[in-house]
Amino acid sequence: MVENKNILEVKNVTVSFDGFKALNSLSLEIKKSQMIAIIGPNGAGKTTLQDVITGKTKIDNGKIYFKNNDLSQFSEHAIVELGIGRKFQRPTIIENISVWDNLCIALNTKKTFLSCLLTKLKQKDLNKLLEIINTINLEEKKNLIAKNLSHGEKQWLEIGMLLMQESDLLLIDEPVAGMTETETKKTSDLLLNIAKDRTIIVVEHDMNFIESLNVEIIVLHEGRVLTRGNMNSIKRNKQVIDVYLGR
Amino acid sequence: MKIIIKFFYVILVFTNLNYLLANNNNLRNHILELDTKDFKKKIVSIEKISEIKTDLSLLTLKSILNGKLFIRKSDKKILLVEIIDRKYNIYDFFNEKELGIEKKRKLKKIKINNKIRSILNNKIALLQLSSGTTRQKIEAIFDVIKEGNQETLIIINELLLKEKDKELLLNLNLAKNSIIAKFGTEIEKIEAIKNLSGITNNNIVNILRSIVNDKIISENIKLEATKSLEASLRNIKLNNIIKTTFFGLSLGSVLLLAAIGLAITFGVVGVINMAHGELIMIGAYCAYVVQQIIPTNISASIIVSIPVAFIFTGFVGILIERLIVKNLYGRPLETLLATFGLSLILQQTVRSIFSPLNKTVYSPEWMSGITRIGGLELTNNRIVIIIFTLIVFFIVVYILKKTIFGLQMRAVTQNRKMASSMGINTKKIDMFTFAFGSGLAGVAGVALSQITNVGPNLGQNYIIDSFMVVVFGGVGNLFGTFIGAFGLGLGNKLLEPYVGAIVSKIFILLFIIIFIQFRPKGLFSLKGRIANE
Amino acid sequence: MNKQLTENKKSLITNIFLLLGDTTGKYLITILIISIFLLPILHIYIPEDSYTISLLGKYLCFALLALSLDLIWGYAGILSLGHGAFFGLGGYMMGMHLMREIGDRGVYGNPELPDFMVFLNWEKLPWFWYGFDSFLFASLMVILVPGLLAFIFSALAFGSRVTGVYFSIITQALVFTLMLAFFQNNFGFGGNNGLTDFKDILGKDISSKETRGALYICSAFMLILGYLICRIIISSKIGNILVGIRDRETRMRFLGYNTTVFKIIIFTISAVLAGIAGALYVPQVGIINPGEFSPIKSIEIVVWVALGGRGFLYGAIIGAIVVNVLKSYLTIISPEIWIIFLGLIFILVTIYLPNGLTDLRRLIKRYYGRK
Repeated sequence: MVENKNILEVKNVTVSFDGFKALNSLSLEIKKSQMIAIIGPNGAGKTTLQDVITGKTKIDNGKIYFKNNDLSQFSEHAIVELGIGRKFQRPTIIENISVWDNLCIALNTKKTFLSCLLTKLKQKDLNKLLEIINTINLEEKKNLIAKNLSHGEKQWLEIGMLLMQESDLLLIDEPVAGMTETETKKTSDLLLNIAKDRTIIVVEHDMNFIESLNVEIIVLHEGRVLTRGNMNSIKRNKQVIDVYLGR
Repeated sequence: MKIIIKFFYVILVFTNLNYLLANNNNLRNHILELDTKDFKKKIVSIEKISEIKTDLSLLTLKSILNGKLFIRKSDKKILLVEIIDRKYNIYDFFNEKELGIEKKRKLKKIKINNKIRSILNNKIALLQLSSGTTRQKIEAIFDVIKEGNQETLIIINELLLKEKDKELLLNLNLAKNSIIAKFGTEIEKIEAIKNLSGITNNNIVNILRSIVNDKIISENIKLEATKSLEASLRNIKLNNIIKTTFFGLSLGSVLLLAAIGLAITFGVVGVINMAHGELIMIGAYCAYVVQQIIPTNISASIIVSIPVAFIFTGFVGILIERLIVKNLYGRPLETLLATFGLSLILQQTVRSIFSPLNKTVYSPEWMSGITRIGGLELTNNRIVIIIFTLIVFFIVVYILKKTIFGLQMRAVTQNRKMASSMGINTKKIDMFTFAFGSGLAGVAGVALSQITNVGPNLGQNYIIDSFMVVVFGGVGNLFGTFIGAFGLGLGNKLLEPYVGAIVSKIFILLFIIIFIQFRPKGLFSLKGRIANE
Repeated sequence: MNKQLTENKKSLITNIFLLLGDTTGKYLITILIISIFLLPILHIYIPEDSYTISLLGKYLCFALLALSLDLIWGYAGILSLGHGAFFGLGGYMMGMHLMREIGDRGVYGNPELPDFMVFLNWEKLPWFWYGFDSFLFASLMVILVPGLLAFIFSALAFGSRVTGVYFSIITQALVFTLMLAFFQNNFGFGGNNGLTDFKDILGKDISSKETRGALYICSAFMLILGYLICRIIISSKIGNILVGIRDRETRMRFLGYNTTVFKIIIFTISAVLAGIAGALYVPQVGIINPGEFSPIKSIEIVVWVALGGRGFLYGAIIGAIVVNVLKSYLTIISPEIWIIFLGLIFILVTIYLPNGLTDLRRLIKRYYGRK
C-alpha cells in the first residue's frame, strides 16, 4: 500500500449560511511539508475553509481528512491534538498575561486540568521555550504583558504559540495585514524558516508577500477552487484576472 | 305649577314613609316571634317576613342565615352582630348605628336548623328574583337551581311570563327544568333532563349526577340523565380548555408587554437592562399619578397615562443610556451590574416618594366586569389587555419594518460595523432605541396597573420572566419574543391545574434552563458568521 | 532569565509557601491566623458580649463566598448571578443536620420528626432527610449537593457554549427557581420559615460562648484554606489558562484546551467553596430560609467582589468584609440609605473602578506621585 502523501484532503465540502453557499463542493489536497498560499476575492470562502478544517463550523456536505482521520469525528480541541494549529486574522493572543506565559500555555503537553495544576516545566520544555522565543525575536520582551506588544510582535507571538504546539499543519490567516515593510520582511523570513519541517497554509491578500514566499498558490472563488499553480502561471491565468477585476 | 309638584312629592314621600314604617313594625314583630324554640312557629314567621318583600326583610333573612341576627334580652332590641376577636360588636338592625360591644350572655341568637336553612335559601332567592338588577336576579336563579321546589316553580313560571330579558329567560328556563327534573312526573322529568343536556352550571351537573346515582329511579330517566350528564361534562371540559387558553393568552400578553421593550434594547444595543422592571414600575406609577390629577374621569386618565408613561420612561431611558450604559459599551456584564444597581436606587426612590404601600389604579367601567360566552366567564380587563398588547406589538412591528428609524435599528442589530460604515449614527440609534424600549416598558406598566396593585416591587416580579421570554424566543427577533411570551404563558397556565401555580412556574423556569442548553440562541436566532462572533 | 527558570521550576510544595508572595494576601492571612488565637479568648473573657464573634464569623463566611465567586468571575470571566444557590444549599444541608440534632426537644417533642413536619401532619421522615443525623454524612452532603448541582448545571451550560450574559441570566433563573421551590411547604425543607431553633452542634450548646468561638475558628480556618486552594490554582498554569478562557476562549480551544472541562471544574470547585461557606454560616446565625436564594442576595455577592477588586482573591475577601460592615452600620441608621448606597456602589464601581478598591489605591498613589 502506498503511503498517503497528502496531509490534508478536502472532499466536496459544502457549507451554507441561510442559503448562501460559503463553500460549494470544494475539493483540494495538500501534501506533507508543503507551504501553500490561498488567495481569492472577498467571499471566496477562505475564512470558512479554515473554520471547517479547525472544526469551528460544521460541514453540511462532504468530508475532510487530516492524516487520514475524518475530521467530522473530532471536536475543536481534539483536532488541535491531531496536529492542526490556527492563526487568526487579527492577532489572537491572551492579552492580559506575559509573553512567556502565552508561550507556556501553548506548550505541547497534556492539557487536562490535573496535569496543568500539578506538572511543572521540564528542562526539555524550557529549552524549547527559549528556542522559540528566539525564533520569533521576542526574547527581550518575554516578561512584558502581551497587550503592550506592537501589532507585528503580537502576530509573531501568535505564530510562536503555534510552534509551541508542534502542529503538523499551520493555518495562517493574513499574517502581514497592517504590518510595516520591515515587519513584513521579518514575517516572511519567519514563515520560510519554520516551513522546513511542517505544512503551512497561508491565506493572504498581499501579493508581494506571497511572491516573496515563492510557493504554490490556490485561488478560491465563490466557494470552490478556481485554479492552483505558481505565481507566474496564476498571474497569467485569464479566469483569475477576470475574478479579481470583476469582469 | 312648581308648588303643586312639590306638594305631590311631599305627599308621596310621606305615604311611602308611612308604608315603610308600618312594614318595619310588622317586620320587628315577626322577628320577635322568631324568639321561640318551636321550629314550626319559626317557619311560619319566616314565611311572613318573606311576604313583606322589602330590602330589610331580605336583609333579615340573610342575617338569620348567616347567624348574625340577635335579640337583646333586656329591651328586645333587634341587633346585627359582628364577632371580631371573640368580641360581640352590635349594630342597630334598622338604622345600622353602631352600639358598641355587648357581652355574649346578654344577647340571644336566632337559631335555625337545616330545614329552615333550606327554606331561607329559597325565600332569599325568591325575593332577589323579583327585585334588583339583572345580575342579582341571575345570581338568585342560580340559588333557586340549588334549592328549588314546587313552590318556587310557580313563581318561576310567573316570572317567565313577565320577564323580557333574554339572558334572564334562559336562566329561568334552566331553573324550571332543574326543578321539574327533580319533582315532575316521569315524562316531564325526561323532557326536562333532555333540556338540561350539555349545561355546564355546577348545580345542574350536581342534580343530573344525583339522578344518575339515584337507585330507585326508573331506568328511562337514568338513561336520559346519563346522556345529559355526559354532554355537560364534555362541555365543562371544553370550557376549561378555553378558559385555560384564555388565562394563558392573558399571561402571555402580560409577558409580551413586559418583554418587548427588553427584547428591543437587548437585541439592538446588546445590553441587558436590569432596571427594565423598574421602568415598568415607573410606568405604572405614571398611571397612578395621572389618575390623581384627573380623578373624575377614570377612562380618560388611563388613556392619557399611556403617552405620558411612554414619554416619561423613555426620558428616563435616555438618562440611563447617557449616564450609565454609554460608559460601559462593550462590557455587557458590567452593564448588567450597573443597571442592577440603578434598579435598586429607582425602587428605593419610588418607595420614599410614594411609600412602600401598594397603590390602586382604578379601572374604567369598560374594563371591569365580566363577559359571558356560553357558560364561560372572561374578565374584561384581561380581554382588553390582550387586545392592547396585540395593538402595541403591531405598532412596534410597523415601526421596525416600515420606518427609517426601524430600518436603521434593524441594520445595527444585524451588523453594527457595517451599519456604521453606511453612515448610520449608531450611537444615536442606540440612544433612541434605548428610549423606545424604555418607553414600551412604561406602556407595559400602565397596562399592568390595571390587573395588579402598583407598588415599588412591581417590576421585580416581571423582570426574570421577561428575560426568560427574550432568551427563549431568541435575541434580536420580535417574532421570537411573541412566540416566546405566548408559549410560556400558555405553558404555565396549562401546567397550573395539575401542579399548582408555583410549581408550574418552577417547571417553566427549569424548562427554559434546559432549553437554553440545547438552543443557546433561543428559538429563532440570527445565523451566519457575524452572528456567531 | 534565570529568575524565570527558577520560578518555573518551583515544586508544588514550595509553591504553597511562596504563593504568599502577594503582600496583601500575606497580611490578610496573618491577620486571620492571629484572630484565630486572639478573638475566641477575648470573647470568652469579655462577659457581656456574645454577639460580636458570631457577627465576625458571619463576615468570614461571606468572605469565603466572595472568594469562590472571584475564582470564576475574576479569572475565568464567568459571572454567576446565582451563587447564593450553592451557599444556600450548603446551608440547608448543615441546617438539616442541626434540625436532626434537636431530637425530641422541639415544641412538639416528636423524636422522629422536625417541628415543621409535625405541624404539617407528616407521618414519617421523607427519604432525603435520611442520614442527616450523622454530622459526617451532612458534611459530605455540604460538599456533594452544591458540587453536583454545579457540575450538572455547568456541564449542560458550558457544554452547549452558553456564555456571557446568557449564562448570568440562567444562573439567576436557577437561584430564583430554588427560591420558589424552597418556599413551598410540601417541598420538605420547612417552607417559608426555613430551618431554625437549633439547639446543639456536635453535642455542644450552639449558643454557648465556647461553641461560637469554635465556629469562628472553623470559619477563619476554612477561609485560609479556601484562599490557599484558590491561590494554588491561580498560581499554577491554570491561572493563565483561565485568563485565556476569559479573554480569548477560541484561542484556548485552538491551543488544544478543552475549555468546557476547565470551566466545569472551576465552576464546581467554586460552588463547593460557596456551599462550605453556607454550612459554616448557618450555625452562626441560627437560621436558614429560602430568603438566601433570593436573586438580590446573589447579586450582592457580586458587588462585594466588584468593590474589593475582581481577580485578586484577597480583593474579594476585603470587599465582602467592607460591604458587610457598612451594611451592618448603615441598616441600623436607615435601611433606605443602605439600599441607595448599595445601588451607588454598583454603578460607581463598574464605571469608575473596574478593579475595585485596588484601583482606588492606584489612583491615590498616582495623585501623590504627581505631587
